[in-house]
Amino acid sequence: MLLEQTLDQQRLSAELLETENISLINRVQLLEKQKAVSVARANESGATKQPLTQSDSHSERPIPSAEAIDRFNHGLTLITQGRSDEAITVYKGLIKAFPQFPQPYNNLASVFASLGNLERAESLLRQGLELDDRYRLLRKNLGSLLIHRASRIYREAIDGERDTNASAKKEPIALQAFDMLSPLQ
Amino acid sequence: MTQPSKAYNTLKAIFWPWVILSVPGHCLAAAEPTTYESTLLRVVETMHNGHLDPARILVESLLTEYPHSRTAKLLYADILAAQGGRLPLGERTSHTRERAALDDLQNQLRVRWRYQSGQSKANDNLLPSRLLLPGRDTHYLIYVDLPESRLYVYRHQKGQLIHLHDYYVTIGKNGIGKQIEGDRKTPVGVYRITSFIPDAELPPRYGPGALPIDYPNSIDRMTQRTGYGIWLHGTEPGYVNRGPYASDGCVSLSNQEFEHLREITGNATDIPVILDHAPVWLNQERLQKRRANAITAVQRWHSSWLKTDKAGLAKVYRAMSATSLEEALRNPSQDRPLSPLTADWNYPTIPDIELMGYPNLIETFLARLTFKNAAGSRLIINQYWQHDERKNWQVVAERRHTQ
Repeated sequence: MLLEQTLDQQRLSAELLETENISLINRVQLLEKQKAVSVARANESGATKQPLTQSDSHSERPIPSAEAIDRFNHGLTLITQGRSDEAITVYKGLIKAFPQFPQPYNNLASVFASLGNLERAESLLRQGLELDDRYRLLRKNLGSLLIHRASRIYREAIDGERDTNASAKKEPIALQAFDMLSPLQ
Repeated sequence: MTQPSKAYNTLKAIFWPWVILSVPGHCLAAAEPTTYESTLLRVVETMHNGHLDPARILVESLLTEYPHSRTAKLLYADILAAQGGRLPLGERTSHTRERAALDDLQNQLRVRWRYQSGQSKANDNLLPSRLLLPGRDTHYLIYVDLPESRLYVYRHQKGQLIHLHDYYVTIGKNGIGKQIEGDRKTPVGVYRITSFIPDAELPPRYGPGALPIDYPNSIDRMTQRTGYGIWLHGTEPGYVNRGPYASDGCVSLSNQEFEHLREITGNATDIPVILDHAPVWLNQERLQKRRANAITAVQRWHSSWLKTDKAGLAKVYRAMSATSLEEALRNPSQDRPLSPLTADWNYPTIPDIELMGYPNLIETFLARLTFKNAAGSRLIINQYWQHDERKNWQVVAERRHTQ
């Protein structure tokens, strides 16, 4: 399976999970929207982007190498093991190699957020959303960051004392990472 | 993220209804120099228009310059929360202290907005009705619109009053109309700055200095008002400004604006300070009428006084008790200056006259008559004039002192 499709599925399931009482119509619309996006992106990337690795001969889309998926999943393992520095290296490497995919940005953001580097996390999420602003998980994570910051600044507005720029930079917060990708075939 | 979220629209509806009621559009004109306040209000306006990203950039730059601005922090938090899909924080809080702090910040913004959007004063061609006639030696006047938390500085130039500047101010926690010591209210009346106390002689909570005023004045004492230490001063550390009602009765400005006020007025301290609970703004013509009316009354008194016209004086002083008047007429060394001017009088016969409408008393004005002799010493007579039942002006209280 193509990474693209895997990711689209991921996105859809995330959206389904997050949307309460999703109606059949919404769901159909979602699927259609998603299809349109895939097609659009395929057209766009076909012209400008190199296939990621060994490609199916009939496909113009960028597809993930087994290696890319392995690296993505390895990063996740490292995250769950709390080996943040190594996870950072992995995801940074992935972003460098495959800059068009938002998922590594998200997961890297979640590592930085867990270390309390919220500014870095926010900028990564924004970069990811620039690639595709319909990833609900990225938006949700960015929302969490913003709300977290909002409540901290709100407390300062009410209680005074701390300086907005200097305070609480090292306050870790938990963001949701994208799950394991399953490399079919 | 540039589009206003659904949460933001709700925010507009419940949090800033006063903005919606009064979208100024033209009022926050770009021609005005950028100040702390104008930027703060531009953030509100930009938020109101749903441009959250630009609003955020603006408020971030404001916080870089004014890291203690709690109002800016509140707006910043609102922008971030709206961008994160949340309603304004604290809106439904039941925590009393939090509620009070939030109200403080919102009221401050509301008051500033109302002023900048031109709702609290029609335009610059109007003058406060109290400023009847500045004295010849009065170069600056300070007028405080207490309900609108606004201090105006005027320069006096040959009978003309020029609006130099105005500032947001904080007044007493318990509002307007000081009566007794410790009531944490700001007095209402006509006062004068008596001195300047520099930073070094003050605890930090006064900011960069203080300008004490002469509360309680003679009319305050007559009406048994007590208390002391009413000052104009800066703001305590940790704030740019406090909310509109937060002092113990003083009038406080932001530190920056306090210094600005000091720059404008220089070392002049003999500055009238009118603290008004019910401002009325008049055009030149109507103010002129009031002025003429008051001047006529004072002139009548002056001519009776010069001629030692006891009958005429008795009319003017009718409102004062007969015995005290009789006594005063008999004995010119009393407190009341009913003594006729004599040849050996140390002062000239023509005073410099300053007339100020007196707030908080029905149809009253204060005439301050200054007789300055060649040696530079001054006799000052303060007369409180009030309408009697037939709308004739009467002196209801009079005090004199020399300087």
